[in-house]
Amino acid sequence: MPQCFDSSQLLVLHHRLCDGDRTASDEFAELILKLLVEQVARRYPHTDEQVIWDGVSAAFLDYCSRPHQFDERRGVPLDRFLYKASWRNVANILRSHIRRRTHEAEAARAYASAAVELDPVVGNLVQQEESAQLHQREEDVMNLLQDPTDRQILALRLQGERRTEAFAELLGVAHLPIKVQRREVKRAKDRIDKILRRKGDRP
Amino acid sequence: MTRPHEERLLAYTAQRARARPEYLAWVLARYAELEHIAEGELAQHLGIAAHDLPRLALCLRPRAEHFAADVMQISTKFSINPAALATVVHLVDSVEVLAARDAGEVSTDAGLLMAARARKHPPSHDDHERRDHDHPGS
Repeated sequence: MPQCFDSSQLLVLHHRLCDGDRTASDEFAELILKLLVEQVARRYPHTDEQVIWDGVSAAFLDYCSRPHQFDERRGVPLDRFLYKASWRNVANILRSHIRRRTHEAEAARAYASAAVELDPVVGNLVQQEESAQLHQREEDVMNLLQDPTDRQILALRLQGERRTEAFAELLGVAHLPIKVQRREVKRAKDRIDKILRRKGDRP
Repeated sequence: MTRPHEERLLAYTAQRARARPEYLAWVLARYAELEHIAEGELAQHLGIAAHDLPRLALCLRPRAEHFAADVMQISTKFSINPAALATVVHLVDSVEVLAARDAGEVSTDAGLLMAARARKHPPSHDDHERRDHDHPGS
């Protein structure tokens, strides 16, 4: 992961924030926002830029207003901590988008069935209905999984993600050799498929 | 990522900070709203270049207990007039306090009204007697 700063620089800023420095957040932003956006965008390659920016800025602003939430004694680097908070925000935003789209599509479907013969935009409604069915199916499949990591893996697959490293990050095995990463990723995907087959569905 | 892209990212984050009272962005947004001024005018008022406004907005709000030191720290960093910044923060703080007090008064008034409405039946004969006894001259 290329970075344009030294980790100790971040820690100095962290200590300044903890000591009540009012201007450290501005310097922090200049140092880390770009990197966080790049990292999260790599993880969600097919996602709208604004969603990424929303997730990153929320994580950044949360942290700077409550810097003590980061505990350096836990051994997690600060940039890693912020990266995790950012991608979790993005995952939440995407989940809420899926839910909203499903509701919108349901409303569109109800409207289409009421006035389909008279409406000149019937083609659009049919498309919306198909899209609603797809989203509903995605939502149903997602609900079959209990484990949050499994859900995130499935969400990535539904977005068309195929790169091993994206899944390895989720599983927390990105630091292991690529062979081990592939094996762990395959194992996780197989486990999810098995759960879905057992519960009567597949992604 | 190009420099203009980074600038946009900073500006976007500063924009999001407007919804968070912990940040100066929130204070500056409230001030601009109260004074009906645009960002450019706000920058001019503080004596800062408009393109530096997002960075200033990303600073944390001065704390009441370290007000002078915090205002001085921010002013020194951005080379702005500390008196102007202190005035901006004080004005927004005052309006916030007044708004909170108004909200408190509204809830207290509501309590009094409820107390006043607590009696549902007309005063009884005993009540009249008691009142006459307490205030014989009335």
